[in-house]
Amino acid sequence: MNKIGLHRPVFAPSPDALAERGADALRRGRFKDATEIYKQLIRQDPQPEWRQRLGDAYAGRARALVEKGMFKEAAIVLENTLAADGTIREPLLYLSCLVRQGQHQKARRVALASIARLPTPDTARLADFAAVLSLASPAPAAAEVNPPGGDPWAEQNRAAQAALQAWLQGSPPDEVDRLLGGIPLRSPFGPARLILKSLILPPDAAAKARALVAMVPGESAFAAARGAVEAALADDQDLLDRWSGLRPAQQQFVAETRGLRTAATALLNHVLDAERRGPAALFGLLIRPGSPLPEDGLRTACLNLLPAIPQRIPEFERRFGTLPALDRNRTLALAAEANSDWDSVPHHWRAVAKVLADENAPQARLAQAVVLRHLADLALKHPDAWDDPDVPGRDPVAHYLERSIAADPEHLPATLDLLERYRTDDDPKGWHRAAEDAAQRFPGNVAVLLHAVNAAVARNAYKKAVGFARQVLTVDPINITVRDRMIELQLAHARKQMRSGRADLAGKALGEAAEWERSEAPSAALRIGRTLVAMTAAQGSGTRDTLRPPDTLRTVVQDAGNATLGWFCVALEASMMGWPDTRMQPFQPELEAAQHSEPDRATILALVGLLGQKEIRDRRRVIAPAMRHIEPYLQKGSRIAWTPAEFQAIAELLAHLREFRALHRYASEALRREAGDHTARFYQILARAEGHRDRLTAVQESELFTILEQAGKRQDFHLFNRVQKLVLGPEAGRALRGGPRPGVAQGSLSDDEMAEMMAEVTGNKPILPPHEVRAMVKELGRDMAIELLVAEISGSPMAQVMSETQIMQLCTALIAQAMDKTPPPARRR
Amino acid sequence: MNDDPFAVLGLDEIADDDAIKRRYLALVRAWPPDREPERFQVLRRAYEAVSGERERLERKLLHTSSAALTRLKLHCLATPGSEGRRTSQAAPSQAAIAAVLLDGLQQADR
Repeated sequence: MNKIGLHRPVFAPSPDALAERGADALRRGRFKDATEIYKQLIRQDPQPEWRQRLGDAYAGRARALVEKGMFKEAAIVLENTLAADGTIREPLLYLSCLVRQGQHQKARRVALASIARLPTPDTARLADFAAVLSLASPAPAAAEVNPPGGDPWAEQNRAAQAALQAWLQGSPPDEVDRLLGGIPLRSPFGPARLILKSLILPPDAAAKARALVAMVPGESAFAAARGAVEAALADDQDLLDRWSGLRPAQQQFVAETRGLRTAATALLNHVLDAERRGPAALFGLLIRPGSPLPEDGLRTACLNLLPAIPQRIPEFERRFGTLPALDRNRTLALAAEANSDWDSVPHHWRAVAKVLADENAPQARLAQAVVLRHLADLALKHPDAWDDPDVPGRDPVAHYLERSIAADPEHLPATLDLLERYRTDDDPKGWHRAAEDAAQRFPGNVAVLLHAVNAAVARNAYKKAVGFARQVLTVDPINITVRDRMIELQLAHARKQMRSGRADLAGKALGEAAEWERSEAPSAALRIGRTLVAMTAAQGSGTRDTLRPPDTLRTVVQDAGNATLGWFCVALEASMMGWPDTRMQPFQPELEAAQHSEPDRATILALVGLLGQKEIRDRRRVIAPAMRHIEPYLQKGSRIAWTPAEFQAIAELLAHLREFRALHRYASEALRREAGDHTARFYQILARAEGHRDRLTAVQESELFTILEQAGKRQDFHLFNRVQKLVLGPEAGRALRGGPRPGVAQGSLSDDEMAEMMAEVTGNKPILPPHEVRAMVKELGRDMAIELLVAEISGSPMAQVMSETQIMQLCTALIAQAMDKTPPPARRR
Repeated sequence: MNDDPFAVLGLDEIADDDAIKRRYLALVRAWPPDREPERFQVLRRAYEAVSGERERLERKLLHTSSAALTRLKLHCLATPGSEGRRTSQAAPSQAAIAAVLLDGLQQADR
């Protein structure tokens, strides 16, 4: 330290220089140096300013000592500032030092002496301290020192002391209350009045007591007493929640006011301390023999700690006896889950389920279902780690859900999970079976019934679908989803009949479809369909219609509200019903008007929805005549500023329909709007290569790999999968958000992927020569030919790797390709 | 606050629907939602977590429970002879009062 040469007066600096050095020492927090400098200055010239600075230096030094916990030294330093009138610099700091040294009487005297000489808010703070000191450490009556003008203080102090003593001596609450009346609430003793009042209230006025004590300010020196009283007034659970936050003095207060046993509170503190140190420490404490705590409670508490410390099972068993199989396996399963030991988890949970199944009691069945649902959940979340010898070759999620439903058939969420699982895993057989069962168990649940409708449709069980749909309407008469679905189904059936030349049957189907229509919300598609069927029937019968069907059709389109969309619907429906182009001649002006109308967002999105229907989008060649009208209109829509989601939906549909010219326009316009749009760039390349990998240039391939990499970094899984499929082919694994799902790699392909797979299969490995297929169709009809093919493939080794739906799709694709005589796609490089 | 629903409700794990409902209603009366909204939410969550048999089984089988430990702790805090009923506060010793007041002084000057 830079000591100052105080003992060398010959070289003593001038007062100005000393004053400057003193101020510098104060600024820098070198209070000890500052003290010496100002002492020297005062000796030379006792100016009030130097005395003030010296006081500052002492106060600064005291604060520094307090920060180091040197309260005694800090008090001695502050006593250097004691004035003749008894005041002292930093009285609050000084009080604090005295309290910590246990000099309560002296602290009280200092507080009282300082009260009148300090400005607010320190005065209030000192008075608060003084009130606490007066109650905690009352002065002998003869030695009482009152603050200036202190009569009110003395009266309040006496009243508070009297009330406190009365309560301590067990006086009746009325008597204590009367004495409390002598303490003004706004006085420094006000908090004492609130606290004592809350303590004398009867147990049934607990809420009032809590409200009273809550009025004690949190920053008051009475706050610790408030905390203790709040805990003392709390119910047991609340007290337990508060207990570890209480300081030892507060715990002692609570224990005494509630009459708690010292040994019991000490044990509680041991338990809380062990709990903080972890399960092993807590287990070690609880398992000790001779505990005063109830034995069954100790056993249960220890059992619940075991999953965190399974290595201590033997210790548990020595103390409490052998663990039953259920508890042991549950403990080990939970422990394995906590350690992500997925080899052991299913094994132990299955053992638990088995024990429960063997019990065969109703509650055990429910418990078994809980465990099985948990197994299904784990199999879903950790498919990579799942290796289940119980379910070889089966989806473990569906397996466990099915078993859980067998154990607890009334559990609706598991039922819905299973149905959804079958639906997304493309297992129509399982879906249909599970949905039928579920519909019997939950006949009033719309979600289950909708599954039953859709599952029946997927299995071509139309009558069953109708039955379930009617059941839905008995529960929910408005249900638009089921009504639309049934109309869609009847339309599909009618189209099929029309293509087979059975307008009469088509008319019947659409007549039935009308049953599903709500009068207040008519279906434009249905009305268009019915009119087209009526026109066909009229022409077929050779009768001259009185209703002039073309005019009827115009009226129907006009009633639909959007003429452009309406005429495109007519064109599409006519194509789907197999109308030749010539029959659309009367409507050519309307179609051309629609084609040349200004495109708008709503119409294009509605068209995308319409064209995106599976039945329509999968019949690209059938709808080709309609697309000749629709495609130019769609192209013009490329100028609209589409959102990314809208763009992606449109682009994907155009790619699926192989409308590459329109797709190129959309992608180019999107790139014009935003040059760095990777999705648009991908679709532009896709359109240029017309969807064929072998038509990609080296530069395009390189660019696609860059897009792929960046999509991966952005976790844009849709684009990633799409690019990957183009660059690497459809056999490339799919990236799924949240990791792969079991079964996906083997069987669960999207419709797009399925379509490409069909092209691959039919292109490279013809199952039947096209001319044979054509002959078969000619002889048996298309549907029968498909069924025959399905039967053939179902008996072949191929059936082992394909689901029924996939075989059905494969056969449909084979027939379509053979009938269209289209050349297979070029072989890959 | 403990997040084990049985511990929050102060119930044994073998409590049935009826006992759980009665206990929940008693707690809601003691801690009404208009006065103690946060506490009510905790109680509500706990009640919903165990208010059906399946939920209770799920809680008991798939989770570790701290309810037994809580009961042991509460056993330590039980007032002898009170059998869980709240009694009037007994006056503590002068020393306990002085200790808590002086402790407050030390806390307040920080």
